[in-house]
Amino acid sequence: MMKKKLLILLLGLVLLVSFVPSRDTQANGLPYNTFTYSSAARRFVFTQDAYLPLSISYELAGLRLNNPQDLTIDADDNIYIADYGNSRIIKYSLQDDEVSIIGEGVLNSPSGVHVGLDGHLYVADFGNKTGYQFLYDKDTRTYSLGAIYEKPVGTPFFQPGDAFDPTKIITDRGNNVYLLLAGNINGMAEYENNGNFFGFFGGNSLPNTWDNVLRFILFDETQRRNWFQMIPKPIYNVAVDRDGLILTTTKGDMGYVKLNIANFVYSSSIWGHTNVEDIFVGPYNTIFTVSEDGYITEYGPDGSVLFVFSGPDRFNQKGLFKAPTGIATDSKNNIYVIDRTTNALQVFIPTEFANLVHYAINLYQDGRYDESLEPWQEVLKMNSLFDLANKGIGDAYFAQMEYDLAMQYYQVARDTDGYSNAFWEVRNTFLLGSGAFLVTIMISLVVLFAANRLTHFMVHVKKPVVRLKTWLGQYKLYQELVFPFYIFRQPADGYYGIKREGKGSNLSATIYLLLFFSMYILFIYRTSFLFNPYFPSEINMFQQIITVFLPFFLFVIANYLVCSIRDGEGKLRDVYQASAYSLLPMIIALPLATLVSNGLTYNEAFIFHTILFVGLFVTALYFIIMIKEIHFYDMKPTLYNLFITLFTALMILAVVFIIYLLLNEVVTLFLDIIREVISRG
Amino acid sequence: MVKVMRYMVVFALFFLLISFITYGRGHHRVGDLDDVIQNYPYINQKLLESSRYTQTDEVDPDRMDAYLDTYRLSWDDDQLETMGFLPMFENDTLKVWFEKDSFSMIVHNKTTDYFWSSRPEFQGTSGTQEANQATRRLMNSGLWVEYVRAANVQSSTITTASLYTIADVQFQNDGSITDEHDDPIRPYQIQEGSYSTNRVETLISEQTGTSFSVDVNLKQINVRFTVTIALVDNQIEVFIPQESILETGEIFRLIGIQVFPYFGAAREDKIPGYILIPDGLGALVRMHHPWNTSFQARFYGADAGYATTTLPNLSVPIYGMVHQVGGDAFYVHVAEGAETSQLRATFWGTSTRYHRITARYSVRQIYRSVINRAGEGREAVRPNPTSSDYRLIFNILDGDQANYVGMATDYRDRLIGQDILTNREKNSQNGIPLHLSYIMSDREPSFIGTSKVVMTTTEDVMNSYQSFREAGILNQQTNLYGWSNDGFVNRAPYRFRISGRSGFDDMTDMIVHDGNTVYLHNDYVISSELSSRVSYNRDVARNLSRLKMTMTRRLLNDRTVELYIVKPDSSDRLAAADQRHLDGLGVSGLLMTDLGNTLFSHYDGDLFERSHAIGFYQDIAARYDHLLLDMPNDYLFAYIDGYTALPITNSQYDYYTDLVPLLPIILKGSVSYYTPYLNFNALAEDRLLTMVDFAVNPSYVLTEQPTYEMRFTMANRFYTTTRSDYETEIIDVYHYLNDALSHVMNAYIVHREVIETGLVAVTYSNDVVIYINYSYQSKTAHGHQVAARDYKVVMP
Repeated sequence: MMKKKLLILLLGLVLLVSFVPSRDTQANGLPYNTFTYSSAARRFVFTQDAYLPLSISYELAGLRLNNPQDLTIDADDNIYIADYGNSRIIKYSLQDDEVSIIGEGVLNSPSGVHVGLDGHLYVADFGNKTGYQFLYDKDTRTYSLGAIYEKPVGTPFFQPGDAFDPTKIITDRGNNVYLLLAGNINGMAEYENNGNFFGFFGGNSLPNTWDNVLRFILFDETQRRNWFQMIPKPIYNVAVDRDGLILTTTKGDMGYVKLNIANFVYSSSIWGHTNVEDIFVGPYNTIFTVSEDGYITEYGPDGSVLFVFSGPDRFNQKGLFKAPTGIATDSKNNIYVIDRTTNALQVFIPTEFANLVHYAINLYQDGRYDESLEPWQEVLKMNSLFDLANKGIGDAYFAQMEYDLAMQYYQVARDTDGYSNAFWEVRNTFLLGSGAFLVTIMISLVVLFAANRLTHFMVHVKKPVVRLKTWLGQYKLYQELVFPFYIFRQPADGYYGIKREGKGSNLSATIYLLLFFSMYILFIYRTSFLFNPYFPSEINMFQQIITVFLPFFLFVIANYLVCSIRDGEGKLRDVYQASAYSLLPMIIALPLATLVSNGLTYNEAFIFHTILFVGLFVTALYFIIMIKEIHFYDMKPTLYNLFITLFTALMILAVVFIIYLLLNEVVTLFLDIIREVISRG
Repeated sequence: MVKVMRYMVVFALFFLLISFITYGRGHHRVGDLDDVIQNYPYINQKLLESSRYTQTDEVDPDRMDAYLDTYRLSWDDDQLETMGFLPMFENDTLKVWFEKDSFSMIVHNKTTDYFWSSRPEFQGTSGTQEANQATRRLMNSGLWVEYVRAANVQSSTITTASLYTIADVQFQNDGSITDEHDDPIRPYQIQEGSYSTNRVETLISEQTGTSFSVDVNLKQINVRFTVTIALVDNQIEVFIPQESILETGEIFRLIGIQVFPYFGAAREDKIPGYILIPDGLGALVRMHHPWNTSFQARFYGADAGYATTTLPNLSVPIYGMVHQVGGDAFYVHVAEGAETSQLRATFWGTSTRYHRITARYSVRQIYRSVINRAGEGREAVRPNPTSSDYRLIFNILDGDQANYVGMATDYRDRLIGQDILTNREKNSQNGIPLHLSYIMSDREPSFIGTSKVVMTTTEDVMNSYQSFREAGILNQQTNLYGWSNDGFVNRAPYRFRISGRSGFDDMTDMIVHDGNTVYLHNDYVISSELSSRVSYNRDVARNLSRLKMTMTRRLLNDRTVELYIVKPDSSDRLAAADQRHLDGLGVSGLLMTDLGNTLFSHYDGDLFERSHAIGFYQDIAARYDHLLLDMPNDYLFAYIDGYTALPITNSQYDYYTDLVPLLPIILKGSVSYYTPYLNFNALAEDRLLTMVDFAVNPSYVLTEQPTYEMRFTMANRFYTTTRSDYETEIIDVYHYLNDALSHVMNAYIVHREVIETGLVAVTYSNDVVIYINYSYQSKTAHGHQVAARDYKVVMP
């Protein structure tokens, strides 16, 4: 659900980036804006530019690329490019502008390149259907052909007719080699360093959506495959992080997933493009991806979005892309990207802001929360809406046991878990501190109770209340307003009272309905943000009125209509009044839940949910009883009636919508005719 | 004595130890951050060599020798006469030759003995045939027209033809220069009698000692017009009056005219030099590389009325080319008709061997005539040609003037001569001005409608103003955003509803009393559905397709805002209505965001061209005693008291090689200009060095309340504004800049030189020289030591 929402946001983002450059924030003379995802505002926000386009090279020391497919960088900041069209690997050093060629004569169409921790070079050759190891000799600085990774024979994993199209290659900490095979749904082929195949790793699994589960129950595997294409998506690209964990990307899935050695998902990006082309893990374990349309995203090690920048190039501008295929960073976080349409290598350098964020993340990752406080504060100064900074500061204060301060920052960052933990501490301190006070209160209550037993002084306290009740009792409206409490105790009698004895009125029902609306608004405004997805400024009156009143009135009308042709006894006003009165449980539950939520942490979340559940359940129950009693049905027709009512309500909506569409068409037609007449005349 | 020595040794060791403990440890932590922040030296060097900076004019010596020996253009009188050129007029420095059939011009600069030709020179020197007949007809004629068939208007069927094309000229040979055939005039020779005067005729009329007119009669397409070429003040003016354009036929419609499209064209990398494009701050394209692309952009940006897309922001109508820095150069000022002209440059590549740049006169534009809501329709042109005349002024520069600085200073002096630029730098109180914008309030969505979020009160502004004064910043320029109850972003034009009017008066009184200025932000050109003053039916302009000009701006959540482009006459009416309120307020004037850089044609019962809007915008601008405009185009230079949001760079095309301060050179000494808000500066001290280099004044946008408070308003794109966060930075930055720039107040830039990569010297008219060292090493320039990442001011 969250991801779907983000997808919509992404759409907006893409449109915005490509068509509406914002002049106010474009203060660094760049052809793009930089964004970050703010969970506090639950949207993308502008941020300080994080990277600056440095250069675009169409030639590397005189060599031109032809359809480059992959790029990697070693610990000494040498760049390796899989020069697919020229059947070679280019090793290039930006520092001294030197270039050397690897694999000439061996390689056919290299599409993946990787430097292992052992210092050797690994190449996936799509043309030769083979992975190669090139052993690096440090003394002579030359490469010689080492192990070869081929399609295994005589294994149940591969039949002779199966495709074997290696596109990417990586190695892990143990120098095991993983070949990514295009279109293979089982994952990457895993080899020992010497070339022995021993299994698959990292394949995607089918998502547990409702329709998938249903199909799983109803059909066998062949049917699922053939009829519904129910096969996992093949992974598209892969990277390995500084701890040796493997990250994969899949076309059609957002961002990336990070796998642990047991082949389970360890963490994943909170948001991402669905067309990620390449992925690389930077020196501080931040993750860089580049999408087909040229957007570069940098993620924090936990998968939070740090920066989104660059984008599609329509005017041959520096810093934008036509068809990027590879991304990598050097040890200073300079980003290198190759583009297979322009055959160019572009370099981006981090700005002061990005450096500061990296520095803070570095400390933060090390668990040095204390020290990260200052850089985070500096980051926050540069962008007040940079969530990670608020969260970082929150964590720093939490570590310093400054829970009140931590709560403030967590709240700004809308970091619910952090807030919940900090609040627990604060509440704990408060409870401990006020223990004596609480005990005093308890004892006083007990004493008072005992005193009442002896002296009955409560009678005198109650007296004015009773008198007030009697006085109010002479007003009909008051009687009507307290009547729902009677219904609450005696539903059958109560609803009968509405139907036959005129114990309710439209006025009091309307008051109840409005009261419900008020309590609902109170609930969405004042519930602690731990349990509340709403932002006060995003609550729109019109929308809320629609949400509350439209279904209510649809129900009332539909129910009345259905019942009037199905021998129901209730009149429209009966249904209206009874329905409104039946909201009473929610009118009580909503403010109660709101009140309670402000004293709860996630540890006691069940209390909040129980209150709401009970409220909802009782309301639903009373609605059913209401239909039964008002229309004088048996139980079975009641339920039957309820379903028809809901169906009728939907139909009413559909008809209104269709009429609107038709009217709209008619108006458009006339407008077009007028336009045509003007144009021809 | 020994005892004393012992004590001294003990103390020395003690201090060493102490300092090791204290500084050693402390330094380690800083080093940690430095380690992250310091990039590799070679990366830093590469950045300085990128197109974000001006590069040195160093040219490979072999290339320079080849140029001086072979490719420095020179013709003798005999050769020119053989080719049909006639001397038309001359003065002490220039002699102009003209050949009417091909409409070619050669300008002889007597000072340097250099020849400028309207034809691409050194054709055929590769020894082979270089171009087909169609291309040669275009190259060798200096007058091109573009036309379409009136019955079938399509942008894909526009015909570009030169006089030679229409006259159906045949060439004598294939145009190659070889050892056997080495006559340099070979490429230009046409077969006798092949120029068909039935199809096209040119006639020289009204010839005087300094001017002549050419009546061009394109019989083939039934189009006639007159081109007047004159020598005025040592400049060559080319003038096409709009009313001279006569179209007698029904078949063809004239779309555009190009005069001397190949003037000064530079062959391959033979000519050491560059092209100046007035894109953003200013851009150079050095001609040493086959860029294999072309450049096209309208002056004054895209025209929303025609739904054209133009990326670059060409705010001054000039362009130029240098043949050898310090040698020869020319630049062209499009003095009339810039608003309908297009700047076109083509660079050496697979389709041409020449770098060239020209301004195309757009006589008509193709638009879409839309007939239904789906946007279907056909392309069409208006029956009448443009109402703008077309005047190009060719300026020939040499020596010290033969570079971009020479072009800019020459253009500046022209504007000063016309009183468009006068000395109105805001230099009161012996310091450079600091521009401070305050966001007073904006509106955030609320349960019912919107609610106001107050970010700064008038009292806060006064306090802020005073505290900066106490810190020595006497020269402040204050601008208020969100001063109206209407709010701020996307809500202009605002109603004059100020909350807390009395406090407001106190504030303006105080600031104005000090001789400083207070501006209110407003805008009458771009509005939105959120503004209560603009009505969709009455005020929103229609484009040529007769559709309302609105733009849907997506906010960063899933909401959208419909932006409106307001009709120029409505803009004027709204501005006039506000005059009364403004006069009573005691503020200095207005700051407008879009008035200066938005220009469009529109349909309102008839076509109204961009020149129509210019008239209204100038009227609006003339209303105010004081006016600040964001990135104004040159037609508003006469009205502004400050130029805000000066572009940082240009469009960053991959073939741009240099960033040059074209606008600063034009404006310095006349109008104060301010950088976009430094709050959003991600370039750290580099940006400050650039500001010293280009003499740009600082600006910040501030709020008293934490920025976080306005996160749900549309002003949230100003994501860092809290004053307390910026106070120290502002004071430091101001004094850093002021220490340099206060020495050159009211002075003009006369010279700017890149001594070596990352080391720049800027000379002012008061003989002050400022050296800027962008590099990470300390450098010596002209005997002055300049620290790394710092500047040095050298007084005369």
